[in-house]
Amino acid sequence: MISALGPVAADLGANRVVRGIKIPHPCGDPSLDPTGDHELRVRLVRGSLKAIATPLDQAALFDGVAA
Amino acid sequence: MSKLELRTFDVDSVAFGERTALSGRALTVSKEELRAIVLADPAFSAVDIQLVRPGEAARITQITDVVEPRAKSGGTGGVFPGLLSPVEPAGNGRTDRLRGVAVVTSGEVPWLGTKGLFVAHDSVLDTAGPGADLHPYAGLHLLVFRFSFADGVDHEGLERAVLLAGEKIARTLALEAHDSEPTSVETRELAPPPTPLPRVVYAYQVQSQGVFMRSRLYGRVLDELVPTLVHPNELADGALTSGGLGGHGAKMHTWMHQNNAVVEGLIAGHGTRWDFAGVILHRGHFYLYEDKQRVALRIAETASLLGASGAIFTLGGAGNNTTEAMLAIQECERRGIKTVLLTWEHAGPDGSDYPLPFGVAEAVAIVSTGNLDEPLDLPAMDRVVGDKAIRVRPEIGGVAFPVDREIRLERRTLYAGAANPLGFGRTGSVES
Amino acid sequence: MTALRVVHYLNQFFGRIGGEEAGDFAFAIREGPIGPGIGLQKELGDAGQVVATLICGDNRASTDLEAFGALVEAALRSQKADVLVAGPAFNAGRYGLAAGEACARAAAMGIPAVTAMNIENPGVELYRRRTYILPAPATAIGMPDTLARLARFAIRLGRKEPIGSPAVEGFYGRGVRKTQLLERPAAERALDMLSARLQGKPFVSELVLPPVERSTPAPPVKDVAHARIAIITTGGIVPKGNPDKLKQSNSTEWRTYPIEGLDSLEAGKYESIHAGYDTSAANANPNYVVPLDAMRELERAHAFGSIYSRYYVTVGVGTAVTESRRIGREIAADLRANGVDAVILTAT
Repeated sequence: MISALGPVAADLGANRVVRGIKIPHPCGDPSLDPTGDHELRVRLVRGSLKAIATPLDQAALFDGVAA
Repeated sequence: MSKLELRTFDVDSVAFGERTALSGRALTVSKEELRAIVLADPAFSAVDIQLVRPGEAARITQITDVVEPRAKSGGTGGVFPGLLSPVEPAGNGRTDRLRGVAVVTSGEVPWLGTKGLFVAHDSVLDTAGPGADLHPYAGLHLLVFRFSFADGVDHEGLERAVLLAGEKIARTLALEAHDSEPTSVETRELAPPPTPLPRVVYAYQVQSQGVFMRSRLYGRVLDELVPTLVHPNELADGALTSGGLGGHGAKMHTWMHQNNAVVEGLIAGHGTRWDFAGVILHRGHFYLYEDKQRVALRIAETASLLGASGAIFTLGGAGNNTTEAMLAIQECERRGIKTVLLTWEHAGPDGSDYPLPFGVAEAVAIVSTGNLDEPLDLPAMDRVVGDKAIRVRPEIGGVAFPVDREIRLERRTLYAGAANPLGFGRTGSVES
Repeated sequence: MTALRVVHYLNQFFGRIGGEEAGDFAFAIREGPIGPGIGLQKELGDAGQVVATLICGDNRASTDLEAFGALVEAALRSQKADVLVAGPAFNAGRYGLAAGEACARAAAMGIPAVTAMNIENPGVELYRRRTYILPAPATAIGMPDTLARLARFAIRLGRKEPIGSPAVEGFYGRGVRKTQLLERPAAERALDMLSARLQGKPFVSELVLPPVERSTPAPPVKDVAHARIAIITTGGIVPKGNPDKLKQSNSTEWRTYPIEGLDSLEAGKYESIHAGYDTSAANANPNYVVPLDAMRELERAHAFGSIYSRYYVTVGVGTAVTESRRIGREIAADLRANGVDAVILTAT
């Protein structure tokens, strides 16, 4: 799950949680220029892929991953 | 120390007449005078004024705000500072209030294309039947102003126009009390108690996340509000106003801010049950988790600085808003400050779902005002004040829902005041 | 007043068939009261008559509750039961399941039913919402008192007398809450609660938060490079115009929309209908909520196998937890049916 309320999500039962940016735009940041915003989004998806591949015993929070 | 002399003038009868005046407990209201005040603002193209007396069975549709008539009659400053009056200290001197009558503004606020959050949700409010117990206005004379809006006014313009109109009318009416004899006079001063008593604070949460969901303090929107300390007397003078156009069941009207039941109870118990240290006004529904944490820390830190042993919380909304309050409760309890939360539930239509969207283990003392998801069956009223249909389903462009008959509201968000966010009403939840 | 026709359910032990070795005893109907049923009959007095006793082995019943339940239904019909009393099951887990299932079936048929078990019995959590369960001690030492309470409750149920809240009546809360007008305004109740806390006096919270259910994390995807990944969002992104009229709040449904061949979600072709957040950013760039453009880039770079050809959407905003669970289960089934290995779910 990508959520701006990462800790809340983890608390409520989501096990793999990537910290999103902000509730109205969890996967991006309109205050950045288009390139920076796009890179941010790619980082979040990479972080999600990492979370998907990580073995876990309990809920964990992940961040976006640079290339 | 803030000291407010609050003069209450009870109004037992209201009638339309040539001049607006208060004579004893009889209020006469001139439609022409008040119409002129409203139509001075070009945002309105027309206004219709109706009266609903206590005991009548009326269904008022599309309420935008409710305001208690108040005006300053001594000292400096004016009511609704920052909006109607200049930004000057509020909550001192002398304030007159008319009790028994309220200004209700209403109208079909145009939906200008933005769906989702920033839509003026329609509601109904009944003055008789089972619905009358779900809001604090049933025993009042309600002067209902139904606005028609001019073309070309944007959302911000509509919001300001509606807010100011209600305030102007409210002040105009209260000014009539100036030379009359009040029913009662109360001096409100939170003097230090003669013997030490536990200090308590009130963590007062409002909504302010954009147009139609806004609240204002001294006229300034609270979208970026970092929790701040407010004296309850400032609230009495309308320093905190509603911006919530539309009467969603959890929205707080200006009347509710003026007459906050929790504040009234805290003032009543000051000096005997506790030492009421102040109101920590804050905003909920921040979009960033860190912002929620900031709110929680500021509330707990402020309460600590004030030496509080106890804190009572109310919410400006549920869901996302619950998070700020819960995190703040957690921080307060960790500092040894005992908390109580007043909230409504979203337990699903049959009441079997988790009652709250978020919780912390430290929230051990909760008062519930019932389940807002529960359907509400309302009988037909004798008359409808306003449009005979309200708009629902904005996300598909709006569907007309006729209300001039017996109706079933699938959930209580369509009923003004139903969430009972400040605890005026007796609603609660009983487990079966 | 004619005596209520009471049917009593017992397991193989209390039904005097045998102990553990008789756990597979087949469902049987006996005339009149048996074992503890005799005590039950005494407590019922003239108000009720135990016309039949249903007996089943705990293993037989609990391993196929579906079949067991059907037999109970048939028996209740043939015996023209007015009320069903099951157990008490005390702390016996399988017995508790059977007793709970029997009562739940009866209740669903419109026949009032009541059972009793200890709070530790797993039957309590599973059946408290579907039938009345009275508390009972852990062992049969508490039989006489429990039978007396069961009898009294059964008579009231049979006579269709109103039953009050669990706090008053003592049965396990069914977890169903109804909005009512209490005696005092909520603000007063809250301030009284605050006062009690400040004085260190006892208080009763009007809401006790149920514990959150956690699930075990799914095992990781071993081969991400070849994984098919689907996008789900609760952010309410739909094709412009909301063709399927997805609700903006209190959701009860989910939809999927095709994204095959799309490199991103184009602004103007999609919108957010979610009622709980400022949708202007999402409307200007739907990829903020459904990150298709970033995912396509990583798909092309072979960071993972492929994006599933449709994305899933629903909303939150007051959506009931039970609905959310159902929606989740249905989506999960759809994902499996379509060979999806992993999901990225964006929340707003």
